[in-house]
Amino acid sequence: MNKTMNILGVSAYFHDSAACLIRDGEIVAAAQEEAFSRRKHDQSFPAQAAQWCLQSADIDWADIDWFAYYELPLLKMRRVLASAAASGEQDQIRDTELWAQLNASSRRDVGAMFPPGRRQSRVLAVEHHLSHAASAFFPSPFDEAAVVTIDGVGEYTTTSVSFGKGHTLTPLQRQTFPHSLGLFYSAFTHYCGFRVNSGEYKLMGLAPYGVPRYSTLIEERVIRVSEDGSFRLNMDYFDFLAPSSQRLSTDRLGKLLGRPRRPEGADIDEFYADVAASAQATFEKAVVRIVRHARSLTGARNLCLAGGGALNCVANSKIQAESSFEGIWVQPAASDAGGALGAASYVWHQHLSNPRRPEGKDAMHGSLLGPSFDNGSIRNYLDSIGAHYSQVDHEKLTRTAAELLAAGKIVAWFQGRLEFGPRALGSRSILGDPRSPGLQRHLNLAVKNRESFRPFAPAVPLEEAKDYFESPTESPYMLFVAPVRKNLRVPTSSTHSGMRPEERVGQVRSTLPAITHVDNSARLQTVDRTTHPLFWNLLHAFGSITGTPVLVNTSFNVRGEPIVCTPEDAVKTFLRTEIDYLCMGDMILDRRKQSAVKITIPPVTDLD
Amino acid sequence: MQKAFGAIQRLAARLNASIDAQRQLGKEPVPALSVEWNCEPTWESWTAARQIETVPFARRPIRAVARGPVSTTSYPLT
Repeated sequence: MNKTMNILGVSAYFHDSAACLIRDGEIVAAAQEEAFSRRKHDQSFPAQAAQWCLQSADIDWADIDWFAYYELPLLKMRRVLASAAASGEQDQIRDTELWAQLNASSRRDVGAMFPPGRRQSRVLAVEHHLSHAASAFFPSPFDEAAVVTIDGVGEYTTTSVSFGKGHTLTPLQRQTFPHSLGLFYSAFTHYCGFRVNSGEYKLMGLAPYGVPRYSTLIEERVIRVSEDGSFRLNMDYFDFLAPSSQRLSTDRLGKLLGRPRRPEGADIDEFYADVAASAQATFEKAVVRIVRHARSLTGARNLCLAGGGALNCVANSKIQAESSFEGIWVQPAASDAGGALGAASYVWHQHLSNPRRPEGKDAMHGSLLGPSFDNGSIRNYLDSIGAHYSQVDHEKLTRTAAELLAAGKIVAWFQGRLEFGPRALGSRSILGDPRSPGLQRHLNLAVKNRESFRPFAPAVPLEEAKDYFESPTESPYMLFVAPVRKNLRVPTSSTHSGMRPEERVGQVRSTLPAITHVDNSARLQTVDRTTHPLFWNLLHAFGSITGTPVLVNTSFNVRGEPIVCTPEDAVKTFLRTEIDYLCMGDMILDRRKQSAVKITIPPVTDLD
Repeated sequence: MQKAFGAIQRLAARLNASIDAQRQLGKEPVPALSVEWNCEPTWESWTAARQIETVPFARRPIRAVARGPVSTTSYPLT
């Protein structure tokens, strides 16, 4: 009898640490440490996530056959030390200490996980960008593809091109540190007053409010992008060589552009929107050239993407429009969390030569790979805190939630397994009516506690998407944008001169104003009936009442906190915000009836 | 504090020696770190070995983590 093979993948020590369990080639569990620790972007060793992965499969540490780590710690440390030396940083001892501890920690933590009887457990460390590439190709629906990874930096690689075929992945070419598109984008994120490694999507959201009037200047002086997509940064404008540096751009960048860095939290005016638009335009130009190069290098008709740069859904759609790939698939956990999945799948397919059988669908199970809670445990928890709720069956649940949404209520939707990756896809979501003109501002300010200019995404049944969006592609993970159909748009004033982005938020641009961004685009989630039946049913229930089976879908969290994981997290977030109803399993909670709840709700102290 | 720094430096030296040993074995390529601006961008080939295998320093099993009132819930794999 063949023994089951369990491979545990781990990513850690930079940001978004995670664990993933692959059993006989199937991805059975994956979660980020932040879900358990409640520290957003938690970088610590994912002991709780790993423990949960094993618990979910009913196995113990002794059952782990292979341990896969998502990068090479020694090589990474060498780059950090070389980088510190190149920067002329005086305080190198601090970096040496930091990285020596880091490396020692990884070895200690990895080693500590194995029981004494399993000292010979096999460990495979996979290069950072190879982990990303593996996470992009092995779970993809393609038998053959060009694979492109783009992020800040791994060990040395910052961008890579590989060729995936069957169960093998062949690395081909790369760009190396300090020349990094990810760090370029992060530097402009920092310059525009947002936090690095969490504010990049804010820069992307701000870009459509501006005009890319600085692109030429940036491409002449700051980054040089060749026709083949290779690129080079002018390090006079960047400050990330020193590992202890707290900023990514130098004062010279501010002098070049004409204004200093925007302080975090300060008003956002047209200037910073224009800078965001310029950085986004340059980023898009570079990635389109890179994937064209990958196409000519590999001859492949399909493309797989991963790395933090692949979370830029606007750039992904640009690739779709301007490259000749027939199919594009993006790993939903494209940032470092996905490295855990990539490293584990690398061990199974490449190292152990197990075949892949892609059959038209990806192997991510809708990225619904995290913890879930049954009705019994939800009810026990609600009873323990004195919550008031009603329990209904599935049909009534979707009908009631749809009626509440149609009446303009905001509903938190906590169902099934937690999503793996940064996007809430209908398991841990806050939902609203996209037809409401005031919803975007209300959700941003009263519920999510975040900047009012930021757009919200629509969820729509896959088969209905074409009625609301132009040329929509299948986008189950919210990784592509699509324009709202012209017949749904309404005329707006074309004069925006002098208007701050926040002043333009309230303009109604379509009959779905809450999800129509300033450029008439929307970050689309298409919902498939077989992958996500309950959420699909809810969309149709809402559509049967309103005639519009589209909902605003934003992550169930507040700014500065991870997406909720447990019923306890859900109730705390529900009660500290202006969410009207919480649908958790088959239970429905009305916020106005929770005065008897005994629960301590800590304030959010670290807005990102 | 001085003692701690010494230990860290020795550890760092050991790690660097380990890296050098691996380089000699051809296992890990270490590219030059170039900050030159006045040169044409180019792609580097990425063909060298990509992996290392090692054995963990096993000590003791990690403790199970208990968390919140619902931590005993089973997690269905549906």
